[in-house]
Amino acid sequence: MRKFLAIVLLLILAVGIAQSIGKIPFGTSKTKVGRYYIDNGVEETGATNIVTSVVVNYRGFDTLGEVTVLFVAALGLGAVLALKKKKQENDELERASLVLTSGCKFLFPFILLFGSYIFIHGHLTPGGGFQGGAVIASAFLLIYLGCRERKINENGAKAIESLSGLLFVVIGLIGLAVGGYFLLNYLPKGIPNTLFSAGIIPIIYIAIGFKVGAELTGIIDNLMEAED
Amino acid sequence: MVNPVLLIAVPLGLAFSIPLFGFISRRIEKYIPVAGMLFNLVLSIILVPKVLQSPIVISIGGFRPPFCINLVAGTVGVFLSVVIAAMGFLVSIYSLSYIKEGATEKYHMLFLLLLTGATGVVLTGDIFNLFVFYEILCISSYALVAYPGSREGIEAGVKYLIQGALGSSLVLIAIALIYGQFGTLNMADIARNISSIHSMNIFLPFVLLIGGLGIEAAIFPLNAWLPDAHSSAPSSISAILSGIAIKIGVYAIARMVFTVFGISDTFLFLVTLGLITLLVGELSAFKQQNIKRMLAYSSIGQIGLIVFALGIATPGGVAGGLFQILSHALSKGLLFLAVGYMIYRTGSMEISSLAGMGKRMPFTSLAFTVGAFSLVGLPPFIGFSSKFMVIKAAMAKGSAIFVVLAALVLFAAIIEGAYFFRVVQIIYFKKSDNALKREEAPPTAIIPIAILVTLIIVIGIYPNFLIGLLNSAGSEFLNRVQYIRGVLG
Amino acid sequence: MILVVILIVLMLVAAVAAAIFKDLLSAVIASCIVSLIAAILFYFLQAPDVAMAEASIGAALVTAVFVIALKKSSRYEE
Repeated sequence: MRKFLAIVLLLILAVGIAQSIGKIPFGTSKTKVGRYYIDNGVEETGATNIVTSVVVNYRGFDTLGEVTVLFVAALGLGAVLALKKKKQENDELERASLVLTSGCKFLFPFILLFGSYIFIHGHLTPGGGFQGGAVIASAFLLIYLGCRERKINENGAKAIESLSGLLFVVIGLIGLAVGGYFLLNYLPKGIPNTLFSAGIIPIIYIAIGFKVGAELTGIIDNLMEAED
Repeated sequence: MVNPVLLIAVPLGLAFSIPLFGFISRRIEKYIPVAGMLFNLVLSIILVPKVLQSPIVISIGGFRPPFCINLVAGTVGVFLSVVIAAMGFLVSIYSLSYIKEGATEKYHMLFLLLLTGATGVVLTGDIFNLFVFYEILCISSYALVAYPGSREGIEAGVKYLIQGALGSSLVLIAIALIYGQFGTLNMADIARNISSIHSMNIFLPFVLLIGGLGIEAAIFPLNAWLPDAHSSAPSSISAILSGIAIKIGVYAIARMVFTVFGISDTFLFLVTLGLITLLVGELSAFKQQNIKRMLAYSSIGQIGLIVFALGIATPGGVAGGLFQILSHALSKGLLFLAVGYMIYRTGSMEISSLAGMGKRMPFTSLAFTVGAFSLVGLPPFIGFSSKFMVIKAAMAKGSAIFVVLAALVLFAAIIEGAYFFRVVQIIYFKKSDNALKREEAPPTAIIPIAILVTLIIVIGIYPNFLIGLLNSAGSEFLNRVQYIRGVLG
Repeated sequence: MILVVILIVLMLVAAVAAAIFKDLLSAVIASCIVSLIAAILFYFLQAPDVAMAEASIGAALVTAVFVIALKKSSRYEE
């Protein structure tokens, strides 16, 4: 009876929501902010990937916030798991087979290279700091799974996280000092569609790539080391 | 020129650099939040006279407002950022010696980021940016609630995480629906175009937004997480969560109702909701035997009072609500900070175990009494002035229903008085079995507590220098047209 | 177009399966499939940036985090 009632209530709710959503014209080209970005994005920011110009330049402040959200999540996990960290007892670990270990070691540099390519070319091709960082973190995940005796240098990861976050804020503050606007794109925009173009966008995306990579790797590291 | 974006960028940069300071010396890192919040406090106070003349609107990235993110530092925003920075500063001093165990470096980073998120929410003029800062605030509070690593702490943290994440996803869906209809995320731009859309189509996003933000604000049916979270967190964090975090949720709801949607039909709904929250909170607090749970339920009640005051929707009512935000932040902050060391000394959260505290920790007990009396609304403390302002605004509304509602608010104050007097009586007059030795809290706790006591008494006696600021904030909060014109020109 | 419809149906099936499986490892794999199909759908909707993020985070990292968590607790729902 309770289940039946729940289903009926859910159906009523679903109909109500569908009524309301059905009237919203998603995907039509009337969105005025979007139209502006498509028309003026390349000219104003120098990035040929419009998504990147929006993410890093027009709405760069959101991106700073999002990087912080990820940072806070990784930090919070670290703070909670810090009390439950396992003592260093590596002898219980069973070594992985040779095929697995060499396969992981072989793939690792290529995945790293692919990740770096994604965030360095963020202003030219699809992808960017978040995606590149996630790909890099998955390379480290592979190492964690395949070669279990390898460990990342925690202080190094911490330093990369802090420095890249700081770099983002400092680039923004320089913009405030130079032109009066936080995160102003004050570097020369260059010729669109070349690697050295779009001013501060590639620099910020590289910082994000490092930061996201280090944070996600940190999350996996914390989880793997936590007590059972 | 002083730019409000520094209020967000500088603490954020400092929070990122805490590990780097940690490489130099592990002893510096705990002073970084103190420095960051002092910077924010000074900067916000400098901004106050400027925003009283006209709100400062700044765009980020150097584009025109609807196409970029803009900050709107109006009187409301700067007033709240002063409150956040002041509480953050005092509590960060308190944390210097209170937080000893666990990953202290991570505690200080999370603490600073929590306050940065709160500052971002009150200053931003963009609905998605508001969501991002709101997430920073929420996620750092989940982590800080679970920080002690005890079983109850982690359980409360996970409970808070699940409910909070549900709320955040509702807000995100609402923002997507709004963007789908208006093609813009700028709050002023949405507010300008809201009347061109059929009201049926904005009903769903509106409900989702109020529901989602209401979870963080702990408004009545959505407050299940609060008592556990506020009572299991370290006391310094309870002070910030009660004093700052839940108010940010209320601010966000008020911003949506007053500015973005501007629906006056919802005001009576808010008043009723606030009153129910007030009564439920106070009645539940009355039954508690655990001192921190009692304070947590009392926070729910006070949030109800703030929502009630904002729902009156006259400049006087909104000013009263903002005053109540300040008064509750100071009083409840003081109570949690004082209780923190009492619990630390006795090792128990039971109210009965506080017996004899009046002799054992005389100053802390005195501070607790001041905070409790202020919260109940006794003169000459700040709580009296703020409650008086709210009641006055409700009476000025002139209709019979508001007189009844104001009477109910006074009734809630009586319940509040009953449970706080009981605690004060136990602290001072109940005989304790243990040998009484004076063990006062350390100076890093005494200083913020003393500052809070002074503020509560001074503002309570001379509220007039704040009233002008509050009234201007109240009328600014309700004036949609001016907000839209200020941002979009 | 027909491919998109098939993918959406598969995604719904995987989502429901993730909710009802008692074996949590299977549920995790099912939710991984949801993410993977979402990534493909994003690609068809001309959002390659989102597709990349969804594939690397949703399908790879989140699944790994869940599997690690399962390894440290128990595999079956009580």
